[in-house]
Amino acid sequence: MSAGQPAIATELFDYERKQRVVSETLRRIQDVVGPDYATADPEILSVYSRDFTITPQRRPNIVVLPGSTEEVQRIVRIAHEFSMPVYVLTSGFNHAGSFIPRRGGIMADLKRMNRILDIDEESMTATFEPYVPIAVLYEECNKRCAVRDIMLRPANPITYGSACMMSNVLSGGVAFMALKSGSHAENVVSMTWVTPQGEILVTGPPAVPNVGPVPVLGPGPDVGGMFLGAEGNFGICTRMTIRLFTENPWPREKIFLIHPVDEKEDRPEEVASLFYDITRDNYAQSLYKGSNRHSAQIAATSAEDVEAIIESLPTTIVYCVLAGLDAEELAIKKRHLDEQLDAHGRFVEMPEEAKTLFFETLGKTEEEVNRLLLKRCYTGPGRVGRWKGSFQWMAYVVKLEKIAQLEERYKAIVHRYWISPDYYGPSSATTTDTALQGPYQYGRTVMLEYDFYYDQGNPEEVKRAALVYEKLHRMMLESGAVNCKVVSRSLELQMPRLGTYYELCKKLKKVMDPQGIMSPDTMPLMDDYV
Amino acid sequence: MATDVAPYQNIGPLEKYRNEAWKCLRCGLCRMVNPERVKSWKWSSQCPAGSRFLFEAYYGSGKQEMVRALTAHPPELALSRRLQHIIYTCTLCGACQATCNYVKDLEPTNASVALREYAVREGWGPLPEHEPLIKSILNYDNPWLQPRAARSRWARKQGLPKVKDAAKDKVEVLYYPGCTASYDPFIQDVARDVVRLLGAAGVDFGILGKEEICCGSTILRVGDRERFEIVRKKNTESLNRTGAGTILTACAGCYSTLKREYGADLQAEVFHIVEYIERLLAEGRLAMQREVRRKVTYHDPCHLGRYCGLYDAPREILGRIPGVEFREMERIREWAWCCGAGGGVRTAFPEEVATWAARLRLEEAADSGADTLVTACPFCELNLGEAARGGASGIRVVDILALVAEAV
Repeated sequence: MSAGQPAIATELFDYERKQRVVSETLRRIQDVVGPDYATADPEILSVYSRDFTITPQRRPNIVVLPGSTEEVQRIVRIAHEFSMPVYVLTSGFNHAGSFIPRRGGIMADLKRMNRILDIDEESMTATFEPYVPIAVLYEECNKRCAVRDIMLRPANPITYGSACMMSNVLSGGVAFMALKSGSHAENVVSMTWVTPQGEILVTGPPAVPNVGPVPVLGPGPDVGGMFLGAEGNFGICTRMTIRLFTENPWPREKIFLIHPVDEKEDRPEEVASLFYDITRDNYAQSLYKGSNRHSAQIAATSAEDVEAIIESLPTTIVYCVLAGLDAEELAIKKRHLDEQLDAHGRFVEMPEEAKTLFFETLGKTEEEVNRLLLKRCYTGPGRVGRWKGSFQWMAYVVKLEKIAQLEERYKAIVHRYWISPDYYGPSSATTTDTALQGPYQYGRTVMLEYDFYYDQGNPEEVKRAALVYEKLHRMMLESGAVNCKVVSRSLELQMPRLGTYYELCKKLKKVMDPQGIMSPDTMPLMDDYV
Repeated sequence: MATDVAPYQNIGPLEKYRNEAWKCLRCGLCRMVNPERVKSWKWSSQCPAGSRFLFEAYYGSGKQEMVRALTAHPPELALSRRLQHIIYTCTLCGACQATCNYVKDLEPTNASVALREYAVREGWGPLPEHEPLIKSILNYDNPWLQPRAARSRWARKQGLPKVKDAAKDKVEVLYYPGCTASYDPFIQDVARDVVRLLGAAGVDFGILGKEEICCGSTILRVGDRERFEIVRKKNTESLNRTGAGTILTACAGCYSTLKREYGADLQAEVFHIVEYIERLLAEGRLAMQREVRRKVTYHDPCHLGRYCGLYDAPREILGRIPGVEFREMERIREWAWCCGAGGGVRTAFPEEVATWAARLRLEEAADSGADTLVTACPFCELNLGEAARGGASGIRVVDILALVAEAV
């Protein structure tokens, strides 16, 4: 470049060079998948540029729909050759903005890889490809019998309709069944990965020739865990085998709603204590301190209705599901619950008529609510999201003894920083209360959830949401809670606190992905992370 | 609970859907049957265009994103061939809206309609393939370039009772066969069955014959509201001139257009034939006594089901036919898979989308164990029937009236 030549010329040159690279990469990718399954048309790219999280918008340069592990492998090798970043999408529904192509590049949309490959009743495992929504895997598994009349199901059906099983496992999805049956990581039997350098790697027993989906650890040191919660930084998962559990065989099941005698007083420390006692004695199927705002937002048809419903409810409602093989077993457990409520003195069971009225307010039957508590059908959270559109969710595992302190700090942050300037309803309706879910694998911990609803079309509100979100993350981490699912900013804030383990993760990234092409910037693993 | 906004209800300009587009969570429920109703992986998809092309842009959420990008300041997209393809491969079946509106109160189908109307205003729509149909409707009152005089030829079949000319004689019920049943030789039996059944029930009815004018649905669905209004005005005058108190049609498309788009401008009450037959059966004016030994399943036409909420009447009728063994497919009622023909798709993308979608529906019908796929829309019958004739499903496609006529 001669002296005095405007700098823009270099940028234009770079732009043209970049376009040439994109065109050549696209041509090569189309050779792999065919012209119908790869494109650089802006109308197609645009839809992959944003999600509902606070992650800034950016388009990929190419979108490709591979149909097999081998096609993924060839695409990754092309990306490697051109040093082009690769991001991966299955259902596209996640809380961390993981598929937003923060550095542009190739978007591998895995919708064509949609087969349930095997449901093995003997080893009680399911093997499937990336684009298998939880709802359908659940239904297909549920048709199988492990034992006579006892159905099979995957363990963790959160975001039942929207999320795919594989991505939910990889990002640490949680729900009631997960709380009971062990976390995702504990249920993975095998995975097939295409590494950033284009190798195919199989983890677990199926890596050994002629060994089927046997649910045992290893063989050898189990390094499979490094792929979980890594947001695609170590490759693209194309196949997964998970353990299945028997469908709850209890013929008798009932929800009991418990609330403080003083209905309008919220006492988190007493709720925590009740949780602890019920958890310790290990007789409840499910335990949930619901968020009234959450429930009201599901049921209401106007913002005013939200407030009216909240006003009509006790401040705290704990859902306790009890189950038994027969009426007698259920009655014994109920008697035990009654004794514990008596001992506490401050909690009573909601009368049957009031409970029916409450479920009617929610527009659900008792059976539907129970199904929701165990299956977590997505429609509930989806309906909550309709008020503002976007929402950010965070879930931390926390010791029960910290609940009261965290609630207090949560409220302080929300009141100070979360103001909704142009919401068409009451400003308070833009946040939810907290929700406790447990028992967390029978231990003295629960999952504490915060939800924030905001309007993504309002830049001011997005900024505010991002601010509150960061404040809450920091507060939780400083208070000794641990993030149990990857959500926006959680890894960025949490990983640097991991010390030597963080350094090891960064080294692994360098070894496995020296060019840094695999989902860059989805977590702080590279030196040039901003 | 949900706002329950049906497709094509109060369509506004593109900007109306801008805020909705921002509210789309990309939860993906518009891709599939409501998760609470999913029964198997094989039959869990819901969007024909999305399932066919798989890129996100082709699903309901993608249409929302198109709205967002086009209404951004400055716009993030320009109208293009790809955008035309995305907009016009949608059958406007309303399935995405059925799930999304139930869960999130959004209106992705209506956003798709607004996109079409926007494309037409900007000179990018309708597609060249649609133009001959539109011109034919404007010039000949039917989309098939057929002469007006041929419109009532179907009624001249031997053995068919003579039908009154409602343009000359006063009738209680005006039967409006619509263009497909009037002109298409494969579908004309639908019109003849209506005549037989109304005759058997002693209904005082007539047709407009060569005076009948297309309802204009085709023009409306491709987004050309301005030219649709010309047809609507002309047809409203024609229909009102008859003085009939009831307008009866056996076409789901005509029914939803007359009922929803003409609405209060019509002086008569509009019925679909299944509603009317159900009433005749209940009043004892029709009786089905002959056995019809078939394993039958029912395909919900989008314009009858999702557009107008008519799900029970056809099932009631089928349930009353002696000998019929009724089996439901997995995707039914609000969550029914579209036959693939609607929204101008059969005209512009006959093989790529329409026949492809129809074949899947036939396979689903076969999976139900049925040997006969029954529908209540000539256009669905045409598309499904054509796919059945060219495929190996072994399923026979018939209009519900054929079974009723057989049983009476």
